[in-house]
Amino acid sequence: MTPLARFVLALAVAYGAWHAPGTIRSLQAQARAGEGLTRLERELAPVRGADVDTLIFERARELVPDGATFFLITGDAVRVSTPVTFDAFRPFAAYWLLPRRQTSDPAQADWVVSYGGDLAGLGLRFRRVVVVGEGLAVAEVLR
Amino acid sequence: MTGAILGLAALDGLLFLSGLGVLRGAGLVHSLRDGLRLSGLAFVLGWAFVGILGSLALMVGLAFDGAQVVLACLVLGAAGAVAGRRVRPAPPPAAGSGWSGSPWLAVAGVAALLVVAVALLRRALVAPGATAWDSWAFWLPKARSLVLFDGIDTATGGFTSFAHPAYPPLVPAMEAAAFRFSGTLDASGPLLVQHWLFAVAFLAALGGLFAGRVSPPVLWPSLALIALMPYFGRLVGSSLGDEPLFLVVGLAGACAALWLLERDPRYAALCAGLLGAAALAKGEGLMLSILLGFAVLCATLVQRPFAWRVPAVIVGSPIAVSLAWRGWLATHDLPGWEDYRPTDLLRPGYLADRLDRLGTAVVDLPAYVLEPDRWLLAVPLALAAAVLAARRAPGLTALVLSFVAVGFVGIATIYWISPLPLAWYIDTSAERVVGSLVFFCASVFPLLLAAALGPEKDGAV
Repeated sequence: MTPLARFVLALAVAYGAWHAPGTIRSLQAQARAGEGLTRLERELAPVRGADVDTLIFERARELVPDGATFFLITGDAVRVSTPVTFDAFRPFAAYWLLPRRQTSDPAQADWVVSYGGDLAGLGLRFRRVVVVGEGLAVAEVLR
Repeated sequence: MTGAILGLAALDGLLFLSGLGVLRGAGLVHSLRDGLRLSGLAFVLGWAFVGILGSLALMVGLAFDGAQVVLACLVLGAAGAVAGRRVRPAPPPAAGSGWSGSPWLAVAGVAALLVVAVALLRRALVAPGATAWDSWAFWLPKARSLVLFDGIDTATGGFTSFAHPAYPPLVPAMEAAAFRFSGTLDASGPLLVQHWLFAVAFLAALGGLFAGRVSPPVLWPSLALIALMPYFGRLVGSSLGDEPLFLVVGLAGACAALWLLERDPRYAALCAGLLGAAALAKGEGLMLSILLGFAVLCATLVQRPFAWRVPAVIVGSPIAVSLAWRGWLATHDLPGWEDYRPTDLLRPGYLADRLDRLGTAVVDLPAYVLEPDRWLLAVPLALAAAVLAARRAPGLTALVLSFVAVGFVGIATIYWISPLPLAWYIDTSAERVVGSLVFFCASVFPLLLAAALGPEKDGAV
């Protein structure tokens, strides 16, 4: 059995050696891609892959106070390159805006963050609506 | 960044000391040399045991804040130190295989490990974190919510409002500890360095456990093969629950293998503790733990004496902590796993109606297990080594073959009974759920190969 076992070891070493340059190159490429990014860009990078306009998150963080509740709405008032954009928007917003609390009930929300959504269709009255970009808005609900 | 790294260094020092206490209490560390050899294992054990304590603390309503983390570490370390005075010291590692090989193989293996470690560290320092969807969809939000809302908050926007609320809390708890000690909630920078350290500690843990048992020309290239797996690079720093799950299951498998080879109950105890952490790391951690316990039982059938108590202890720990989490879910009116219900296995009509799903899973899964672009040849090499080691270490062979077999069947069964659309479910999860099997195989590969290369002696490497 020993010659076969030595063959297994040799195969493991040879296959690992064959793949090693590719693995190292891949890690180096990922590092290079991160160099030069600001802290904010690094933190928002994951959702940029889904082609989400991250300005909405930056403005929402500035406007919505800690502890406030917010409702997320999406719709076709914004053009997206992939439907994944909408899929990514909601969970990333819930993550990014902590410790603000996402609610699934607009009637409970202090704020509404809209990514192409129809704010008027929610049946709420707003104290102010801050337009962030085409189809993007952060709105404070009037109580 | 410097202050954050110093904060993390304090946390990691505490985790290391608590793990060292566990090893001391088990009688595995009784000299500085032992401590150095098992330093990687000490860190992973500290992470795992403190993680279990932290999960239990969260379940009883505590915040698991900085002071409680320190207390948990000190209690573990002190308890281990006290127990270590009463426990008989473990004998030195059993002699390794008679095959010495070329020392250049060992040098090449160590060099490859160092190069990968440096490349991973460089990436950790500059690259974005949380690049995997699930990491920012629920793993990191849960961790942040533990810090921001002082524990498990079941209100709107709290811990249980994110996807997979039934997933146990160990991984978010330990990410939250890293957040607290580093003073930042960022997903990149310090947190990625923490993940890098965990990965390096995992490799060092295997190296320390097998040093003296496996000759260096076998051991170091085998460990380098793990580090060079393309998926290893993707996994480290992903902030997915899979990351610690794979590494902890791999290390638990290594401890189970050592128990089978040496019948020293200390390794079975470490295995049980690690599997407790695995069960609290992710939903499938419990299933994998039970299956590993079953595989250990199978191994004792072929490698006398037959023993059922140790496999029972191995599965007892993950079952106990899982029951605690299930109890917490029930008392808070939260549902169990939403991806599948194990009780559906008791419904013959349900199973028969969806038999085609089992067939599809059985056909599709091998490609994910064997994919060389993810795992190199980790599983085929381990299986080949297991067959070649059968005469010299039948228990070890039985452990590996039976765990791969039942693990494969277990994963296929999840796809069989799940109500989720099969193609989508396999497409989005298969490459990750097979990871525990792969890391188990890769982790025990050095022992298998040493047995296959070693002298004719039943039951020892």
